[in-house]
Amino acid sequence: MPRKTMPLRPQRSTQAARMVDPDSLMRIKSIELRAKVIVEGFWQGIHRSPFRGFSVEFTEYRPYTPGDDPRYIDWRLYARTDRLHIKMFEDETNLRCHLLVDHSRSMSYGSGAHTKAQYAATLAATLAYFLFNQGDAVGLALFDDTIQQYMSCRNRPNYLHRLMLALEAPPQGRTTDLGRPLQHLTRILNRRGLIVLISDLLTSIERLEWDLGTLYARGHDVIVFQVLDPAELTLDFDTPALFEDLETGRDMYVDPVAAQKGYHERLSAHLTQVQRMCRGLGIGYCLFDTKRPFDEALLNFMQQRMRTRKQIRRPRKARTGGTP
Amino acid sequence: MNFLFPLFLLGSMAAAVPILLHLIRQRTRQRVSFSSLMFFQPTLPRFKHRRRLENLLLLFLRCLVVILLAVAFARPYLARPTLQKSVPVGRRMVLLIDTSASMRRAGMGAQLRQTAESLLAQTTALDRVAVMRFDQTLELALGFDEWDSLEPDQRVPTTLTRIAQLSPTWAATDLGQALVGAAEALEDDDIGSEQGGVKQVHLISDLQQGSQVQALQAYTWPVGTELIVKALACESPSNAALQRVPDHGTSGSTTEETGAPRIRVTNAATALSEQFQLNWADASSPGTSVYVVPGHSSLVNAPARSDPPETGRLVLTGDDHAFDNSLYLARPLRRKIKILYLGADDPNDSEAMLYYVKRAFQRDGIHDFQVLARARLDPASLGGTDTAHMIIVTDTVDQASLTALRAYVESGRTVLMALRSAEAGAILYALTGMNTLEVQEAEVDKYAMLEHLDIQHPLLRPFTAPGFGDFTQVHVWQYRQVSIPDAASVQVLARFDTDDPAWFSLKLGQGQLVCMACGWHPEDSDLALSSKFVPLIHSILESGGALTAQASQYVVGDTVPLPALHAGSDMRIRLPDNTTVPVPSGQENFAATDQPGIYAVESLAGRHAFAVNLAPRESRTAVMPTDELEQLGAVLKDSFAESVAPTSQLRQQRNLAALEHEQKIWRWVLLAVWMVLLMEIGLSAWLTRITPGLQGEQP
Repeated sequence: MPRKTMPLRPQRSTQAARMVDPDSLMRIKSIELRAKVIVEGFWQGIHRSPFRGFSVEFTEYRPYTPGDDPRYIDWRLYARTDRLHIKMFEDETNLRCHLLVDHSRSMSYGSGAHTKAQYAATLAATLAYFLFNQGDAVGLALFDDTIQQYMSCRNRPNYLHRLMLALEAPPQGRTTDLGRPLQHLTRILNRRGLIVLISDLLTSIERLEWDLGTLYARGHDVIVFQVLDPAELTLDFDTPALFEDLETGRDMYVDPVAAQKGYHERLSAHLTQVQRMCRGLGIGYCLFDTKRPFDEALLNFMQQRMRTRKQIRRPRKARTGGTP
Repeated sequence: MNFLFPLFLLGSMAAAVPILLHLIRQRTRQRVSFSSLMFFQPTLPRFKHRRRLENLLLLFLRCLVVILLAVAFARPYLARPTLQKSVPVGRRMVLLIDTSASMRRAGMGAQLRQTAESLLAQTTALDRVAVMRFDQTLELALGFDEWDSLEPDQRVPTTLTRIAQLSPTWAATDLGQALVGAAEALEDDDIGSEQGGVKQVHLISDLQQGSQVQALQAYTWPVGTELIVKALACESPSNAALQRVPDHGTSGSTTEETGAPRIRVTNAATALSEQFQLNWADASSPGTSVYVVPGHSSLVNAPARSDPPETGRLVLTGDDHAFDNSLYLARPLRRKIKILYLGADDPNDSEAMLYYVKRAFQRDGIHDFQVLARARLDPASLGGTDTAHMIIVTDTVDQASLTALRAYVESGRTVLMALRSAEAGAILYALTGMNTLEVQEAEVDKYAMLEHLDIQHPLLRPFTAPGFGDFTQVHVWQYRQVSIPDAASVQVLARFDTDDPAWFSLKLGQGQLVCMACGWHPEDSDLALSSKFVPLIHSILESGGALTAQASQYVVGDTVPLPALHAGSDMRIRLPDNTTVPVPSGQENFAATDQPGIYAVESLAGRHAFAVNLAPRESRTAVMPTDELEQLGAVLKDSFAESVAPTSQLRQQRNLAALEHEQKIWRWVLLAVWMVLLMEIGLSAWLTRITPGLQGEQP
């Protein structure tokens, strides 16, 4: 199956024009159709690679020993060095991607036409559609303080449709607790893969570093997409009111004008902490507000993937020859 | 519109509060759902000032509530032309003058007249006055109409003359009823009601503690009527009284017969003397010396007399006031009670029933019992005054006696029948006419007991009290089994433990037949030997009306029932002053006991004397605190002088208060406050609903 592994060079000049406003996209009722529109639009905005079809990446040479497949002898090198060497390729298998989508009550907040949960669902659907069409296996886990729904990685006909249906469900959870879902995934995911965490991360992140580090240590590639509403980033309120916490139901009288400075300080500290943690672990991190076009998210995802591939974190299992 | 308390109108300035609240608004009730409060810190509420008033109708309603409340507290009233300052209004006064026996004390009459003069001297031509006197009853001495009909310059002299004509009686004091009557007289005065003005009851009394005031408890003192008390003070506080202690003994020697009745001597708490002398009025020998501590009483025997007369007067000396120092005594009329026993028993045989009947009816203080034993009943002896008060039948009698017995009981008398044997049941058949009634000898195992006693029945009433209804000690060795038909109107008073009727009664004509299924002699039962027999047989006799006592001691004002033995003959009453009053034929009572002394009922049947004395409570001459009247609801004025001569300003203020009290406009204002509040609530709810921006915000 041909694979689309190519360097991505988006045309900056046409990018903005082609990106579709999320509010407009959200008017499409079917999440599957929304994802298709985003992915198709995204493909039109990047250069096609001339190396289309390659799926095996060269890693290193090793001296030939009797018994090795002579087909993998690099004859050119032999001509230059007069020694037989065997070409070694990275074991490229189908990607197993787990989408972890936050379904807590805080994700149901939205100051505009759509909520963070709708945005996160669309983002997850876009990634799923993109990867599914690439032939990768995609799984899904919806969580709040526990995993509410789990779908293992598959790449079968109609499986994408089931994923979309699961993503379309509104958030049913209450509070956010990242620890227990991540620890649960750590236990059940035996094969390495890509884990994409889509959440507002509006919770304590004291143990998040440990849990993400554990996943990473088990060989998973982890990307964190933090989704926040523009109102959460700017606190764009002008009248004092009783603010009600969607997760705990707690009331607090807040005068936004007076509280804005402190709010921004604490929010910035929180975001900085998350960013520093991801950078320290070598985890991809990207902050989205719900006004940001999905194409950007997809592009960011692919850039994160590229960056991850270039990192040589540890020796991997390699094999010689064979079609990946 | 005027206001009784206009200072309260300053409270309407509080209407500025709603205006201020409409200008300063706190948006604390707006609710915003937010994803997480983890980055927030609580802030203090912030007020927002606005330059323009909103929701003017709502503001108007809120201000109106405050203003109406201030108006209600200011007690508004509408002035009447009659209450203008230019038209003076007179008072309506009732002079309530005490003429009870206690007012016979020295100096009381002079004080009364002096007080009345000073009071009447302060009346004006606009005032209207009525004079009422009271003791145990209330009488009008001078009415409002009569006052109006007099020339203005003749009103006070005429009233003073009427008051001077009032003399103390011998009756007791019912102050409560008198106050109620005086207040009602003021309320019933139509002319005065139209004119308005102050209503006053001026009580001139010695306010003795023996006055009855209970009538005030059940009376609602009229609004606007003032009670002004002028208590007359007695210069000599020492007063002692004497009262006869009634005899309760049943022995033959009563205190009247020995001539030394027991007397209670009471000394007033404020008395200065403690030593008194008690003696008969016509005695020449020195009397009994009595020592009584002030505020206490002492029981003494009157000086004994060798030949006690039918009537007498005891006199107490040693205190300051003589009006209650005499006690008249009259020996009660003795009655002869005749009981006829039909049977052949030997009166001295302790095994026979007659033996116990004779001993059950012993002579007491007012009754002479005579038990006559007869073998048969002579019809000729029935009728007239010699008729037996009760007949006891224990054995079979002949037919003539049966006929006479039936006529006797149907005439309204009582027959007690004890079934000595089953053959005696024939009398029961003959008297009751119940052919289905069966009497036979019962089979008794060892003994039977009485149970199911109907102690609510009048015949068994002496045994109603706890401890007296235990008949378990009465054993019945043999009895007669009486089968009473179901349809018979027989009241079973007691049953044996075999459920056979033991005692029962039934009406025959106007009289009643009481039947016992066993005798009370030892052969049949232990009844005669028990403590139940005498009360039981006396109760049966009393049920026929034979033991009605004729009292001989009364107090002034009592209605005296005339003795039955004088019925049918021309009667006259001899009064204490030795004058006689004829009693019309058919009159059963004599009510004109208006003075203490010995009264006598005289007729061809003889002479019966009875004594009428001063009511004992009239001797309690200590002054009653006026607070007691206030506690019973009377509106009392603190000071007599202040109330009889109020300043014109006070009077005007009082008139206005009375007018405001009549109109009660404040109630309507409060109702308006409620209605405006309802409108405000409705308008607020409507504004909140129609204005989404005001959701959760103070409208």
